[in-house]
Amino acid sequence: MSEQNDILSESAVRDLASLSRLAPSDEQVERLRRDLCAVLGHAECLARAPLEDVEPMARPVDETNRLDADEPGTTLAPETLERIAPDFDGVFLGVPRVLGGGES
Amino acid sequence: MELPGVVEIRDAVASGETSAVEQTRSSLDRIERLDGGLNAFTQVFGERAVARAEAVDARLRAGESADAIGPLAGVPVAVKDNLCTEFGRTTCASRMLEGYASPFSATVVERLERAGAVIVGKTNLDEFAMGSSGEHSCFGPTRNPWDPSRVPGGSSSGSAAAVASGMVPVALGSDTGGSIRQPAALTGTVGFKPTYGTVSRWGLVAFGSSLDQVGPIARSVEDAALVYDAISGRDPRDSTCLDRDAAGTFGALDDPLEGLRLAVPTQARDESIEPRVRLIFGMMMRALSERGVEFEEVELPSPDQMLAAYYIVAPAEASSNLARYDGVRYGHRAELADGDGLHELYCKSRTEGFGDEVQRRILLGTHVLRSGYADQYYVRALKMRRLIRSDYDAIFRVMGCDAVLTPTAPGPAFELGSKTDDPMALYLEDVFTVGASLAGLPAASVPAGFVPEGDRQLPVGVQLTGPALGDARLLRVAREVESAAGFAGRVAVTG
Repeated sequence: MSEQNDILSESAVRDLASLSRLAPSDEQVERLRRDLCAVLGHAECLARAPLEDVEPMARPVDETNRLDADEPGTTLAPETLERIAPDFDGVFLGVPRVLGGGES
Repeated sequence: MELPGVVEIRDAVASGETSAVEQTRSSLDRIERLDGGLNAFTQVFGERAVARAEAVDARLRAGESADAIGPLAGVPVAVKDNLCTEFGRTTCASRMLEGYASPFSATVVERLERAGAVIVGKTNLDEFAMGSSGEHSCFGPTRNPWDPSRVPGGSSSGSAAAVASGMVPVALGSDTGGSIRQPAALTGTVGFKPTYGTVSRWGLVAFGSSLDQVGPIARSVEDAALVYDAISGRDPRDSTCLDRDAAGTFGALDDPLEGLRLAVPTQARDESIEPRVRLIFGMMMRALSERGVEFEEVELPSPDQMLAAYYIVAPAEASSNLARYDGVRYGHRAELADGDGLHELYCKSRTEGFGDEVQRRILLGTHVLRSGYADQYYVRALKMRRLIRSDYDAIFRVMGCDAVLTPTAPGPAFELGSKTDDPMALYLEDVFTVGASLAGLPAASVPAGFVPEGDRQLPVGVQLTGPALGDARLLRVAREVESAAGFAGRVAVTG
């Protein structure tokens, strides 16, 4: 297994975290950096494989996605919404504010 | 000890020898007695399960035949808690989904109930199905019924422990890189990952969409086949589900099996495998050889290359699938400080909501898909994936082998906490299982023997991987291996 402890710097991990919408602590950043370097270092074994003329395979089955008919279908029933919604008055759903406090 | 399996319970309910309620209560009693020490369940639906069982019994009393009710009439089952249920909660063992209730049930859950099964509870797992030990759960780790100081494997940790301890005769798991097969091996149960696309993923919370498949963990191949048949078949709600009828593997288990040829990759006897596992594997080959099975030594891409491809493809898909958990639409939402905006809301909610392993994989996936790195990592991994599939195809089509035989995991169950600080050590648990996942092939783990560990006995499994859509033949072969080994049906915890 390759030991490549310098594949990612701490600032690269912070940048990745921001792109991933994560905010690890300083202590977590160093641990994550070490872990990610270990996995990415291990992945270097793929560079030695004879892959030049190989087509990438994104899915294990060749069939293409099936499309639904463009027709109205069944949607959620009001009683289902009532069961799962934080607040439902029979017509409107109440949800917490996204920013600026927790009340509806 | 032995307890009745799926087929025995079904037959006994059908004949009136027992009732669905009696079987359900027996399962619930066992959960009550044993789960405190194992932590296999995230939720138990006692009242609902008894009511469903009463409905099955009422139909039987009214003169309806068990066949008309369904092939699993009165059988208690459990489902992994990353399968949506319109009853109870769907947690994925993550703080991120705290309080989340699904508006619908997964297709496989609906099909189990339509087949007459009684869902008694949902099982613990590694968070969002990411892990190979059952330790990465917001509900705490699941313990191995054969030795509670050890892990049951993962990510379908609770399903495997529940079946191995006899709390249920069968449970559904999901398998992305070995999450059904590896815990089955570590708990002495049978785990079956079907061909990709033969079972609907609708209502399975997505981890790696081109890899995820739902399948059964049971105490015999026969039971696994019966449950697989009940959950398989086309589903208009899942566009990756193949347009095929439900499988008929159970009825094919007694088909003649002559001239069986198994491929054994050179790495199946590699020195990196624990010697006790190599010993069991060798004994398994000898037992099969005495039954007339022929072996063919074959070459596959190295385990290192398979593992590297998997730990690029799966995190790439995970980072995309888990982007939906943003603190706004699902579960956990962080408290914000003055001046925090939307970016802080996302970052804080996701950091508080996801555990370490999930965050690690999201970061890894983001990196390998990133502009400037995708060719180096992601595209290269997809090319390796093609090579793996081609090599498997050659083994089946050109060499004419029925299945590939390997150990399922490189060692028996390990002690809780012994690999938590070293992700690569944990990822190596998947070294034999990721190949079938990347190639979309059916694969089953079957108990092959036990190894002594102190005053305990720990199970060891072998894995059979078959050609795409060869699920029926593969399970037939698995039954032969199960019979040659003679370890099926054992329950770990007495009482």
